[in-house]
Amino acid sequence: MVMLNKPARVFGALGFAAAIALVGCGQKDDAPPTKGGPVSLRRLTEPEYRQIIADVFGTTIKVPGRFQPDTRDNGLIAVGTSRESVAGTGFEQYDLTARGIAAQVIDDAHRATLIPCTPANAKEKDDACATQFIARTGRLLFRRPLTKDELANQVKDAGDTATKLGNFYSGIELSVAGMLVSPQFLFRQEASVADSDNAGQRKLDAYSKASRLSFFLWDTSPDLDLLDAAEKGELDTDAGIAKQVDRMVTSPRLAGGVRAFFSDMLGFDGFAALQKDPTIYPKYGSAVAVDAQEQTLRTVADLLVTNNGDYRDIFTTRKTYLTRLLGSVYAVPVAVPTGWESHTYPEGDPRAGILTQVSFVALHSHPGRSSPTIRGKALREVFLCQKVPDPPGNVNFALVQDTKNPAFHTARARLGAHINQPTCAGCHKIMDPVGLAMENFDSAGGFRSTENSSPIVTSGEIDGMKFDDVLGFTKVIHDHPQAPVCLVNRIYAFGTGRASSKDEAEWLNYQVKQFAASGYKVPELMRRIASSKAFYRISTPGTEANNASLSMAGTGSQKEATK
Amino acid sequence: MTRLHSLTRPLGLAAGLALMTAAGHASASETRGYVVSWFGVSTYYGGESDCPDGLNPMSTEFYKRELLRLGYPEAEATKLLKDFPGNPGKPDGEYIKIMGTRGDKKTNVYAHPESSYDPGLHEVKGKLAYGFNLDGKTDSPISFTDPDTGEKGIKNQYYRTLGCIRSFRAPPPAHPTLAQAQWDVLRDEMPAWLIEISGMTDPKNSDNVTVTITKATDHASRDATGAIRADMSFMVDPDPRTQNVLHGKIKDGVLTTEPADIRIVADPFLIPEFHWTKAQLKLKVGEDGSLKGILGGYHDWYALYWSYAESGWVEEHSASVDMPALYYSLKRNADAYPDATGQNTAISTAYEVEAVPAFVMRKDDKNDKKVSDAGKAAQPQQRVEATMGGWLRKLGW
Repeated sequence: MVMLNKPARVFGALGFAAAIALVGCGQKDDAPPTKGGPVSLRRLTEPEYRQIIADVFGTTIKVPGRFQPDTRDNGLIAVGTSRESVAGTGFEQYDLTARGIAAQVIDDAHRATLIPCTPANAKEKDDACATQFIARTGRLLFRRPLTKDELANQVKDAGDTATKLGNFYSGIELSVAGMLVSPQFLFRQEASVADSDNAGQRKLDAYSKASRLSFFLWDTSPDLDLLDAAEKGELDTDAGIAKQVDRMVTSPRLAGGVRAFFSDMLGFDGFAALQKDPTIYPKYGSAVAVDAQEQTLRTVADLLVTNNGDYRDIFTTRKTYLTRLLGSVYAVPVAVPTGWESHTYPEGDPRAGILTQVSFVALHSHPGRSSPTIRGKALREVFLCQKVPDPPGNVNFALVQDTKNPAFHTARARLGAHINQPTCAGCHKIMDPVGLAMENFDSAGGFRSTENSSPIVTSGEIDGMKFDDVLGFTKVIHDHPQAPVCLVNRIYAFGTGRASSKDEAEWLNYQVKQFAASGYKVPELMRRIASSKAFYRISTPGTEANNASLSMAGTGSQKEATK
Repeated sequence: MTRLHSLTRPLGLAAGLALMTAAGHASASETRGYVVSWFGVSTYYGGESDCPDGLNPMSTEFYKRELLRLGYPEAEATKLLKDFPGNPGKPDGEYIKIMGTRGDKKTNVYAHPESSYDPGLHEVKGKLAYGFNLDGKTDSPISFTDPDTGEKGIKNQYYRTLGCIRSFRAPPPAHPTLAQAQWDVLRDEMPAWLIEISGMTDPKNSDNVTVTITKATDHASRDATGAIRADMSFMVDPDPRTQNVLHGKIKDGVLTTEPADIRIVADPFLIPEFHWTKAQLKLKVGEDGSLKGILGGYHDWYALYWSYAESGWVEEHSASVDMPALYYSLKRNADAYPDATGQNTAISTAYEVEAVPAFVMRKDDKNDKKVSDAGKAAQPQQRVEATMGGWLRKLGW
């Protein structure tokens, strides 16, 4: 892999794609065995829903409204969706959205493109044409072929509607709306079959494999190629899976999967409720919040996918992308009046890596002040997978909240006084040194060198590694041994929809070593996971691992850190 | 391109300031960029003493006066104004048509104000106003005194005309209604106005600075408080109509410029184009990174009249500006550039100007490539500040 870096950079994404394809072919899964986990039933996230609609019906179809909020579990919404249902109000939102989409599918602007046949008489039912449309569309929406009964019922309902309303397209509209609110669409329903290669074990069936693959790598439902492969039984073989994985990892659409993973891992859903006091931070607003998320995702996708870079460099990279709006927050000129512009911070500039971007420092702050504690907690939990206990209920926060206290000008001074309280000291010693390293950035992400006219000191120590300033801090996180371990665990959980089990610790340790050996290349890690047997293995009754307790490979330092 | 200045991130600590000063002054001079965040006619508010003859009537009042003068009975005049402001072309807007020809009952009074008599405008008779001594005379009977500095000989006949119209009056910090309403529209609708100050060796005192006033190709945007967003990037519009280069100095934190022509393309909602002669700037260079002060100069008085009259009845009724009265007052108070008949063609004016830091960028004419060196130039200062903590720690702070 190291040898492939240079051509990948030279030839850009295309060269990189070829390089990945070469690596993928013929690779053996010699990882330690696992017992797998249970099949999952995962509700589509809102971004997944929107992406599917765009893929199936085109980007000109508008998806109105917002959906029932997702739940985060073990650090990921992807895991939380396995525990989701649909509430009554949530179903109403799905129904309204489905009707809105269905009406667009059959409108004059879209019907000729989206409906592959023309009814003999548009005022009457046409079962043949309806069957053609519903079979094709249903297969894409349900991520498997419709059963005979499902198809027959859909066609009958569409025909009855067309007859009653005197409009063939009204029947199609009803059918589309119906499919979009059906559990088969809204939930990713996995099914298992016996693993013929391993007696007594089970694995996902071909269509479930296709879905798991597609959502993992592309953040959307399987395309026709993948569904065809499943139908032909190609996904029942290692070679067949490898072929599809290689196709998908080398596709530009891999960036969608990488972006979806990081959006989830970084907790960007939190921006929906993020508020800043406009009198203190007038530059922050909803448009900045949108751009801030996109900035980080572009930074990550450019580094990890386009340039096949080292994952750890997300903490130190000087290259990013800016809009004029973000330029005003960062006090950086942006020439393009609209859209995005590449920007590289000069050597020595305090901005480097995603930890210094608005998306991290603003998301993990209070509305009216920064919070070294929240930032420290977030860094440990998001990037190092270390669980920091919640504060006890009777903590007196008055001192840390009083930013105008004449005796304590800076957050460091206030927190220094606060942790003298014995019940607070333990956790604050874990969080605060980390968060204080980012105190050069205010609650909205703006740069500052002083607080209340006192200089901000950003030196500190994390897990035995010392740093002088925020740049030194980003390098320490870059080199933190737990960072790639956490990434491997998170990305596996993102793909499987569950926290890894104790049984999988050895397998994950193996993947961490492979990740390091590859130069911490995320596409290669995703390809390796997607090609593995463990990714599709389903536990048999009585052997399910304890999913409730997060056990992570290589987490020795976690216990140390959380003491 | 103009870089942002360091004072947007002031250090209060003496040691820090000393270090910043040393670092900042290592280079001979700097250029700072700004985007105009407020622009409106300067109408000093000093209370009742400004207008001892009283304020001018509201439009309902002078419309009724005119209806009566035209011979409408009291009851009919009242009936005509019953649904004021009414709708043009509708029966209840009949008074609009009458007012539009109130001079000779056939001519558009807004386009031809001399078809009307001079109703007389109550004018400012107070002694205080902002502006400049544009003609160098301190003993002129039209002179005002600057309320802040006590400078005598201030010429601002535009204020004398407008200052007793209610929509031009507001106790600070409020802005007069009409100016605020106009700017609220313009700042969103009009490409931004840009200011650059170059040759600045010290933001408090610089003997020789160059000030450019240009227009951007981009619009200003607002921040979460509704104010013009600071630190945004703007590309200079190469339109030769808005390329002004002034020379001046900064003394005790106040920038003043030598008299020069200033021409700025604006917006028909306000005025299609400003063109001042003998214009000057007096702007306080704020420690928060802002500029705030006055632009003043002589301006063609009829162009100013037409900037109100072009909308006819709309601005007359909504801002209570009696257009014929305004016309005659401006003509009467014009104080410079007489024509062959002796009638002055220009009037002394003053406008409030405020600006916030911005990146001002230009295209490289040779390569058509956007230049961004100024923005990069801003970043060494960030580096100074970022490492400040380390230095101070080493010094034992």
